[in-house]
Amino acid sequence: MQISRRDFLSVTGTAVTLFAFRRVELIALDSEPKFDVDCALLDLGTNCSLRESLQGYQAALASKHQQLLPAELNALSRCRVAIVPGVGMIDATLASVLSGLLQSGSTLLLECGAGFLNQSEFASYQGMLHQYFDITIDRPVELWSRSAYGAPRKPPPAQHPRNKPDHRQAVPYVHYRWPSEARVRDFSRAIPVSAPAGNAIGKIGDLRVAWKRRLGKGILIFLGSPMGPALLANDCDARNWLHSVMVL
Amino acid sequence: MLHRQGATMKKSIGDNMIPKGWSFEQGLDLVKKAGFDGIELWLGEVPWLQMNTADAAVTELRRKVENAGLVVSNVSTGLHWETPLSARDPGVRAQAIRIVERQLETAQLLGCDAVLVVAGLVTQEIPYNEVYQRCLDAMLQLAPVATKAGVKIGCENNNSEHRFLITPREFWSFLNEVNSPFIGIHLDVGNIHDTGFAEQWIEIHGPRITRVHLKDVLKKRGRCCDTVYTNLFIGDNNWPAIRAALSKVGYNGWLIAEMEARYHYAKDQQFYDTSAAMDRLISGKL
Repeated sequence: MQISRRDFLSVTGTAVTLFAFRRVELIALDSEPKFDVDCALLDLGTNCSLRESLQGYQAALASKHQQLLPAELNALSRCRVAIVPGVGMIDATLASVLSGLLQSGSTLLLECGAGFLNQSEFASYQGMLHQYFDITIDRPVELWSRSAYGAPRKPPPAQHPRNKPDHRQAVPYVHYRWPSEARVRDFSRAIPVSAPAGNAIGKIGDLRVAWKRRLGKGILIFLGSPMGPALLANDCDARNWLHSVMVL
Repeated sequence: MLHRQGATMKKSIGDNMIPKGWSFEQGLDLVKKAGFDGIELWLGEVPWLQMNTADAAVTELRRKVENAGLVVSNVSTGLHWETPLSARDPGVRAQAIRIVERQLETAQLLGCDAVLVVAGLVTQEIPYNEVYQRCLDAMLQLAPVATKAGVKIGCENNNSEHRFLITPREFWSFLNEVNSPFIGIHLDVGNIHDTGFAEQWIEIHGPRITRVHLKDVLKKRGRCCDTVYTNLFIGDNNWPAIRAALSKVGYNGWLIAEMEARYHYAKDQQFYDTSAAMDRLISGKL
């Protein structure tokens, strides 16, 4: 069969173009966004009791997140990963929104900031977590003696920091086992956590301080010892651990 | 914050040196008789100046100081050892900020332009990186307040005690990050211990030095069981070098005696002896 160079190029060009369009279409179909937002970092404003924790996540996630206010999160239908740093107070509206995200398949990283709440605030916090996420938290555990802040100015010899007993004989790390192994500094007060389903993913000794469980179509990751300050301090383990959450 | 050349350095001593049981007025009388030009007031460490001392009472303190022929050199505090700016608890940090703000307010009321702040405290519990960031944040927050008040915040070098900003270059970098003419260093020439040499700190920080604390130090003699601080000229500080460095950088501000080791007897004598030693230091006849 005789075919001119012009015809050949025309036919093959069209085929390539059609194939290319098909490719684009296929790629578009394959990568069709399943979520409105890949990673939402929720700024709870005054209800974020550890602002430095929020800063830590901001620094670690850099451009890979969209920072939102609770009202904005409510407007999203789907979000792949939602991170809520330093949760101090949690009301029914917020709990409901977060619970809804889990039901629709999001991974929710809920970092507890309740270590520094007063007794009544803590009780309310406990109730909300139990009601909406079916997890149980206990009163914060003091991991260090208060005297570990240091000492009064120019202390007398007997009270010098070096002479104080080491109230924390153990290694000061939370040991995370999922989604990746990590050892991250504790944050002085840890919130013990448990639930009827799921499993502990982080411990300080025998104390379970991080939990993972499925809720609806999603995964709840609850941190009873804040990770954000370690992220802000550029802790490698903390950053790697967060990365492993992001690629779940 | 450049120091004016030619003026003479002035002598001050802390009101926390006033023997227990003495009134503020008795203390002022002693300070004046011993030859000091001013007095350093310690917020929270003496009964007459607490966090809840009202403005009117602070103003009355100023009147008493001036009636005694003295001025207030600066307002210091040791409250941050128990309430650190680097605490993990945001509530404690807020309280620590409030302490500095109150220092700035009282400094204005007392007519002086510098306060001493213990910037941060590294412990086994709270690691260096966290402390650094929180102290930086605190100073960035306080810098506009200090600027508005016209009062300089001098972060004290507490090399061994607070285990933070231990070298002069490190301290320099920290101040660079804060980048405010109202945040400098309150240099304690005794606190450097065996981690360095006071005269080198003076040279490096020169115009950023807000005030100078004077005491001597017994280097390499432990610090857990015996105090390493002692009176001027009987420790290991190189006083001729310190004096020369002060001249070199043109420091002509306040020298403030901070005697950690106290006389067991004749407590008032320590004021006279210290004042005389400071005169010798200022004169350069060492």
